[in-house]
Amino acid sequence: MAYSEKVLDHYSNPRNVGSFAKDEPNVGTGVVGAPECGDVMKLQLKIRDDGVVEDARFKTFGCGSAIASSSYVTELVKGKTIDEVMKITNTEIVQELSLPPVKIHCSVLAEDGIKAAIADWKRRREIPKGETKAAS
Amino acid sequence: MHGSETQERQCWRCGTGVGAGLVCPHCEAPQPLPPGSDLFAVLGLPRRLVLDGAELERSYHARSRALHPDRHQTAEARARELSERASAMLNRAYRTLRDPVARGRYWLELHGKPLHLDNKEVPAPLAADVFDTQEKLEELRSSPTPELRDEVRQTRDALAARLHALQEDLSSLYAGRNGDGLLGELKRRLSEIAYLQTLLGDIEATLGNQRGAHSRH
Repeated sequence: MAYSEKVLDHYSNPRNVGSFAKDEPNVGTGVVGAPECGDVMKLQLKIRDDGVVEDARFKTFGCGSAIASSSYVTELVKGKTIDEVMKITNTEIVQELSLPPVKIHCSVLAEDGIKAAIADWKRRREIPKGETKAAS
Repeated sequence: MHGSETQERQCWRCGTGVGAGLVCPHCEAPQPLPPGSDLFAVLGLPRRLVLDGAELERSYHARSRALHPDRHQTAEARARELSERASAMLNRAYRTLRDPVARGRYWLELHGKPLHLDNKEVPAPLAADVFDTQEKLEELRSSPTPELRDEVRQTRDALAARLHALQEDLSSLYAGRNGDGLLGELKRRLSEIAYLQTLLGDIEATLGNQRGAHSRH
């Protein structure tokens, strides 16, 4: 498989690798995977009270395109509001990284991961303050 | 498959009625597969998740003999072509249906719910195991120590045992449940099996070769 230059760049020099502590109140975590190829992705967003994504982290175990997709998407979301993030589609990732058709599912996974992270952030904010510790 | 359509099938060579058969009972010419045949029909087996292993073997061998290209090599082009096509399909059916995991995946496809469809969520406990193990593998690749290697081996053995148990449990799932609940449960278990297989493959690759850069696909 010949990877594009941008995939290779993100793969060899991934941005925002790592984790935030899961119980930080302003962090949303999305874990998604593709059973067919066994790829797993964890995407985390640190979101301010006004709904702006302050920072992002990822940890992905999978092929080069899956790593590049998650690396790129963490760059893409920073500074955006959650409404803007919800409008991101995998096509943006496909175009930026020039993913071939067989690797499009990697970009879909990254999109789903980001959206799962936002859903998690929203869910955790609904838990009244003070109960967070007891619930986790 | 026992409907009137298949009963009207006639041998393309001699015109004898062939029913649902794959070869003509009169002139032994290979027949085109009835339209819409699934892999169960190719082997003449009922469309069921539980199947009789001995019956599968018997049917496969009998049909292989009747359809084998060697048997039709002196016949006309159409017979040779049909025999090759049917033999390939027969082999595919046999490989898929004799393996409980492959059979389960095929069952999901038959029901329009293939494994990858709407299946991005990784159950939290499984995800935790996958990430913990992969992080241990990263550590082992960057700083291999005998202790860490032993730890990874133990993890491998535990995961292999879990995979084995999941595979064994498939037969009771196949025998026991029916209806909508089955497909969801089947998908869940086959996904877990798939993740564990990939993880075990990564562990073996790391244990076997700690120097090279690690990358999948």
